[in-house]
Amino acid sequence: MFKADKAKVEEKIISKFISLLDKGHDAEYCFDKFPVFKSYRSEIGKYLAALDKIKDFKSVKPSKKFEKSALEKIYQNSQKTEESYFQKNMVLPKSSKLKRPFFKPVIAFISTFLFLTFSYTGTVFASANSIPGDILYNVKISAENIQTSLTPPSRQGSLHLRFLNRRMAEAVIILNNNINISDEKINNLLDSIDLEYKRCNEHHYLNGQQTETLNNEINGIKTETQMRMRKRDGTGRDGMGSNGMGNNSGGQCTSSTESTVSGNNTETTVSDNSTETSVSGYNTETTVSGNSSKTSVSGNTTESTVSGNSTETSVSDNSTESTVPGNSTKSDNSTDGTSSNDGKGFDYKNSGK
Amino acid sequence: MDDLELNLSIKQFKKSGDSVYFEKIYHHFLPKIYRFIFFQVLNKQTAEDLTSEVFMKIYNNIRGSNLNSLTFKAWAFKIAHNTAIDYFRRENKSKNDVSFEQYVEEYNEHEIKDKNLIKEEKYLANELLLADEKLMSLLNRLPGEQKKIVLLRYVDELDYKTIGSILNKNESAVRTMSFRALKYIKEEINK
Repeated sequence: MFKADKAKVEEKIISKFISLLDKGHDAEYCFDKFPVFKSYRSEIGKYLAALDKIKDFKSVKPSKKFEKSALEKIYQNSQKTEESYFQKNMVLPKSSKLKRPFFKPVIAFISTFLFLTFSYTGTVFASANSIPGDILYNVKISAENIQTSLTPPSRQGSLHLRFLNRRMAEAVIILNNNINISDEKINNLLDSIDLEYKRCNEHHYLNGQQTETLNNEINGIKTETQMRMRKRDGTGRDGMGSNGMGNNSGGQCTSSTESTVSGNNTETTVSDNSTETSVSGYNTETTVSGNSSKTSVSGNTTESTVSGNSTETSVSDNSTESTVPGNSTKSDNSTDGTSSNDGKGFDYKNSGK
Repeated sequence: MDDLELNLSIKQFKKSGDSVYFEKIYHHFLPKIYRFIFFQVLNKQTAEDLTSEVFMKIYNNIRGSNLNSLTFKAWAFKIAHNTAIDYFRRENKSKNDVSFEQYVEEYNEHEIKDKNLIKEEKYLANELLLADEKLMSLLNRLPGEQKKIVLLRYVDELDYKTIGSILNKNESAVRTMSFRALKYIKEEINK
C-alpha cells in the first residue's frame, strides 16, 4: 500500500473513532468493541490529547464585573426600546395586559356568543314568510313564543293580535295558492287562530267592531277551509285551493265562480261571465270585466273597478272606493237585495248574468 | 443548565416576561457567546461590547420568536456570528479595496503576527488564565471558519447540524473541517 493511501485509511479510522466519541461512547469501550482501533491506539491517543487541550478554552470567561454591568445595561436599554416603540407606533407592546392568556377565553366566549346570536337572528328573519309545512315554520313559532315570554303583560294584547293576523295570512296563502298540506297541519293552524283570538280577548285588546270583523274573517277562513277539505276528501285529494267553490247557499254558477279569502292584500281579476266573492282582512282590490256579479266583505278598504254590465256590492268597515264605467250598479256600506252580511259569517252570492 | 431547563426558562420568559428566567438563560450562555466572540476579535473590550450587544438583541427578540432549547442555541450563536461580521465590516470601511473575507483572513493570520504575535499571545494567555500559552497561538493559526468550528464543536459541544446552521454550511462540510482542525492542532502539539 502506498504511503498516501495508508495515511487516508488512518484518517478515516480515526475520524470514525471520533464520531463514536461524539455519539457519547467511552474511548475504552470503542477499543474493546472494535478491535480495528487497537492498531491505531497511539495515534488516537494524540488526537485525544489535542481534544483535552482544546477543552482548556472553557476557562476563558468574562469577568464578574462585566457580567453584572452588561445585564443592567440590557434592562435599561430594553425599557427605552419599549417606550420608544410604543411612542412611535402607538401600539401596545408585547408585555401588554391584552396579550395575557386570561383574555383569550373571554374573547373566545364573546365571539361565540355573537356568532350564535347573529346566526339565530338570521334564521328567524328568514323564517318570517314561512307557512305550515315549511322547514323554518317551527323556528318562526319558537321565536314568537320567546317574544311572548319577553313581552310585558301590558303589550301582550297587541302582540297576540299581530300573531293572529299572521296565522290568518298563512291560512289565506294556503287557500289562495292551492298548497297541499296535511289535515293535521291545517287543524293545528285553525286551532292556533282560535288560540290567538282567545288570548286577544283575554287581554281585552279588541273593541266591539274589531271583534266583529275578526269573527267574520275567522269564520270565513274556517268555512272555506272546511269546504275545501270536504271536497278534497270527496274528490280524492286534488288540491285544496281549487277554484269554483262559490256554490254555498243555493246559488248557481253559470260560467265560473271565483272566491278569494285573504288576510292582508288580495288583488283579483275576473273576466267574462263570472261570480266573485271576496272576504278580506285589510285591502281588497278587484277588477271585474264583462258581465259579472261581485260581493265583497272587507275589514278595512275595498277598491273595485267594474266594467261592462255588472252588479257589485261592497260591505266594508272603513272605506270603499269604486269606479264603475258603463252600465253598473254599485252599493257602498249597504245591504241590498243582492248581498247580505249579517256579521255571523260571510255570504256567497252567486249570480250569473 | 440542561435542555429541559433551558426550554422551560425560554417558555416562562416568553409567557411572563419575568427577568428571573432571562437571567438563567443569560448566565448559561454568556461565557459561551463571549468566548465565541473573543477568539474572533482577540480584544477583551471589543468582545465585551459585542457580547452585550448580542444579549440586547436576544432580550428584545426572544419573546416574538418561536424557539425551543435546540433552536435557541443556533439562534443565539447566529446572532453572535452576525454581530462579529458586522463589527469586521465596520472596521473594514476604510479598506474598501479589500474584500471582507480577505480582511478577516488577513486579520486572523497576518495582522497579529505583524504586531509581535508571541508577545500578544502570551499576554492573552495570562489574561485568560490559560495553562498552555502555546494553545492560544495554535488556535489563532487556524483559518477563521475552522477556529469557529473548533470552539463550537469541542468547547461548547454543539452538534454538527447546529454548527452548520450557524455558519451556513452543510453538516458533512462542518464534520470534515472540524477533523482537519483537530488534526492540525494534534500535529502542532506533537511537534
